Amino acid sequence: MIPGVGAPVAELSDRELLALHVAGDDHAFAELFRRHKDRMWAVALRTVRDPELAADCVQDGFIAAFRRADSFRGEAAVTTWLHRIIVNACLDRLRRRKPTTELPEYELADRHDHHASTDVRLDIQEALARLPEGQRAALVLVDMHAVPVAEAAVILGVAEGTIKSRCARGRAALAQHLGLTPGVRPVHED
Amino acid sequence: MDESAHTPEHDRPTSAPAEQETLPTVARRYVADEPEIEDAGPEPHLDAEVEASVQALLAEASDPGPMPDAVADRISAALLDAARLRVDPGPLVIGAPGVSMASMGAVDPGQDSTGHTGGSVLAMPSRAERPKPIYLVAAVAAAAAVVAVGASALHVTKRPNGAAVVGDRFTSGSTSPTPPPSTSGGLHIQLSTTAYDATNLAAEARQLLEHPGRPIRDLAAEAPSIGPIATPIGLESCLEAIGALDASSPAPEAVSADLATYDGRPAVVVVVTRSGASTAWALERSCSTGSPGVLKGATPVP
Repeated sequence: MIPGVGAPVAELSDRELLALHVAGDDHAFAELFRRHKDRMWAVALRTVRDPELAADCVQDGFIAAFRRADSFRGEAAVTTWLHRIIVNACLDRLRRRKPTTELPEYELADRHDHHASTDVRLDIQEALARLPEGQRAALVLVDMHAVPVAEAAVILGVAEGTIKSRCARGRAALAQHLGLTPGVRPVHED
Repeated sequence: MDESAHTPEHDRPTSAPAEQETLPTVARRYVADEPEIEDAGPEPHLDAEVEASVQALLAEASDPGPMPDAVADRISAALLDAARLRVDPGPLVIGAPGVSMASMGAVDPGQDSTGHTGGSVLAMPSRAERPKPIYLVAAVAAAAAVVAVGASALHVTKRPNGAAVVGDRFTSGSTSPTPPPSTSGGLHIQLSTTAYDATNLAAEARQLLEHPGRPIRDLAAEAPSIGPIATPIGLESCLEAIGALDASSPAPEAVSADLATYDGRPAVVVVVTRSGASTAWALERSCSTGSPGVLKGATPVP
């Protein structure tokens, strides 16, 4: 017998959990949140680069997913669906906060970095922050979280070609900022 | 890497249009407002080695680590509030004495139509603090239903946990605050992922009788994929449709319904026990009077 309502929620798949949630189970969505909160947090934080804002975005996203779970038709993975909701909540929040030229001062923590790599890391973060939203979101998903291009396209609601194009443009901008492009001086605006 | 030339049509999703229709508004709006200016102009050519270096640097960028406990707690609290609203909608009349939008927690001044809460955790009154006129209406309706179907072989009234009553086993006044997770005897409705088919129907039906899951929650019938079959009244209608409530036969001792799948499609498996013998049917979830949607007819349960 396949595990059903009586089975521990930890044994159920994401789809089964979402189905149970839609049917009224009071614990299924909590398990989905437990499973995916760290990854969604990482994506949100890398997208908005501000922990307070990231927390708001993740909360927006999970609440939206909770309320609209019955609209999930199973045409994509639950994680893809969640990613999409969270990422778009981030982009939505960023747009509401515009216009601004201020960069958040938050630095991603990594206790294992040595000084040189810290410099590079901060440069990358700074360069990422200066990218257009769409390029940054594409790079966060594809290059930082190893999300396949096709899935990133679903998450961001654009064609695969657009994801490839945005990644290429974003990488070129980062390369220029970091001085990796032959004949092009690093960009240091500060 | 596919260096696809950028064209305007790249901004139109091609891989998941149907899924877009299912997304919350917050997601759809971003898609609709997709800025194209950032993709304008010729795509830059980047040396493959340099591009690989950038990709490597991004991949090695620091991991933000797990979600901080404070954030997780905050979101959990917000989800709990959302769950309370879902299970117990509370009063529907805004402006009634002691009832305000804020006290309901349903709307906060910063909340927009997309469900944004502005990142705040809404202060929710406890369930005990909230008036429950819906329950009063439901109680009256349930009492009326018992009277209305008094001549029926199956007397059904709803209990707080969504389980129900068959025949005269329970009275309509049953108000047990902590009913058992599953009723042995009586009416039991549950949701599961059991994959029934013609070969296992009888055996799985026996499993359903011996190891029932948790009864389905109240209001589950609101879910489009569930419908009235998840309610005692809806199930009674279905039982009448398949002839399981023959007036010339004694009332069933127990009825169990499992919202699961049959041959891979959504279905409800109903097991009726009468005079110690159980019979199972596999039916479409739309089963109701005049339209039973029988997928597998009466099957004796060993």
